[in-house]
Amino acid sequence: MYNILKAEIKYFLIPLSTIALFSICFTLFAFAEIIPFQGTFFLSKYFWSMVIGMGTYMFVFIIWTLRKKELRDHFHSKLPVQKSKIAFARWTFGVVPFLLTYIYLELLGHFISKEQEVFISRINAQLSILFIFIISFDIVLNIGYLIEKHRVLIYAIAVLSIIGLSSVLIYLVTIAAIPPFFFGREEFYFFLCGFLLSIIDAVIYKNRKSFLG
Amino acid sequence: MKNAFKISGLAKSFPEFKLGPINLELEPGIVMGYIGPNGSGKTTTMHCMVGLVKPDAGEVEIFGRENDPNKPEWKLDIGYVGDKHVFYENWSGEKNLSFLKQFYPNWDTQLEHELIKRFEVPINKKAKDLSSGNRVKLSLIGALSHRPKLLILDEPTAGLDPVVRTEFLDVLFEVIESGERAIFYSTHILSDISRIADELTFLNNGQIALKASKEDLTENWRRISFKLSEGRNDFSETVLVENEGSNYKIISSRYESTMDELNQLGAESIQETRMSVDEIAVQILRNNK
Repeated sequence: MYNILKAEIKYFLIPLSTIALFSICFTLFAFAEIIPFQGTFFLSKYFWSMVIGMGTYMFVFIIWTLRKKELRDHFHSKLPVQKSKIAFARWTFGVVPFLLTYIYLELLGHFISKEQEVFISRINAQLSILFIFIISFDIVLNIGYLIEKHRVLIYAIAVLSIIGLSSVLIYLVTIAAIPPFFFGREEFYFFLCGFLLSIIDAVIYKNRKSFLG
Repeated sequence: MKNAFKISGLAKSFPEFKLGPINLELEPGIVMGYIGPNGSGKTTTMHCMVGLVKPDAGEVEIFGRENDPNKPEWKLDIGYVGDKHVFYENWSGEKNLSFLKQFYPNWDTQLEHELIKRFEVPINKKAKDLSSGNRVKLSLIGALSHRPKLLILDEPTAGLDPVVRTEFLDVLFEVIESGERAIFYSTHILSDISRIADELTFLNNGQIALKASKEDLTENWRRISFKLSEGRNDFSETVLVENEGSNYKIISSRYESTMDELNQLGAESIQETRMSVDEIAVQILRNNK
């Protein structure tokens, strides 16, 4: 399993490093607290949170699509490695970058000014939502390999379920204003949702009936 | 002695095609050609064997071990070259082989280098820049270098030009001669397998039409021409009957039995000629359409 994970990290070192670089750049700007002549923070003025979130997502999506294009699951499933270990390596590779970025930015929140904390929230919320999006996409594709009959119907049900689940979550957090029980920021719920979906995704992957795609 | 593989009741259904149930065995050290037209189920059989596809029913054993994806030790005994040659595309061939090497304790680096030299694969080129022929060769090097006891090859020469195909078969022939390796080779190019196979299994429309040794086939199948005044359309053990008046041309799958019958019927000017494996295969597959 470690050999697979090591290979994936080596292979995608450039996009993974770019994601890390984004976070480091953000950190530098957060600490610099550059204030343009209008009196607003550089961070908010140039939508840094959106840039960080979309930038990270773009590179993760590139990694995801490249793995699909190169039939990586097909390649790995031919190796003499337990399916469960391949699933775990895949899960680790997919989840850990999001998790590390999330934790890093949350920790950063303790060292920057109160006024900037909202930008941490915004980035982590965006990252979490994009995390949910990628995982959901992967779930839908993996379901297609798990349930071979009536595939189109299954895809439709899966997509609608995920949209429904996300809508419920957003309602609970924003309108019903269910207080967070942990970090004090509602975006945690989005990340938790993505994390739980990723575990479901790993289980579905392990039980696929076909690893041709 | 355990079979190289044993397939029992293997079945897989698709919307417009059903494979099986397939029952097939291969003894160690034997080369079996798995012959069938496009869409007959050869690739699906192999996908089920190597765990890429889960069958709807049946079992596959590799050297006595079930091909359980959660106990993958059986994969150490097989080398598989499939219909898709997948690699880390931005890595060189060498790096791809180094990656594979980590998973096989029996990996023979010397053999790897010999095969690279023999196949003349540009090992430092990125996999995505390799020609289709070189991709097949790289796949074969990856499959052979850990000295598997069973080689499963799914139409490995499809799409290769004649020069590369001959080269590939020459190397395969050397591999066969050098050890007690069992080979399960699927193809619809009969000339590829007729040279190296010990046994032939014919697959058509998802079912096994015939399984026999090459020797049995070439010894028993004959084209027979004769004259017979009595008009008949049916002879024992024949698969094809053509006649123009009293001149008959038939193909027999058990020529001794057919010859006995023809002699009893008083047929004249009987001439029998041997058939090549290719001709026999065409006939078998035609008859099972």
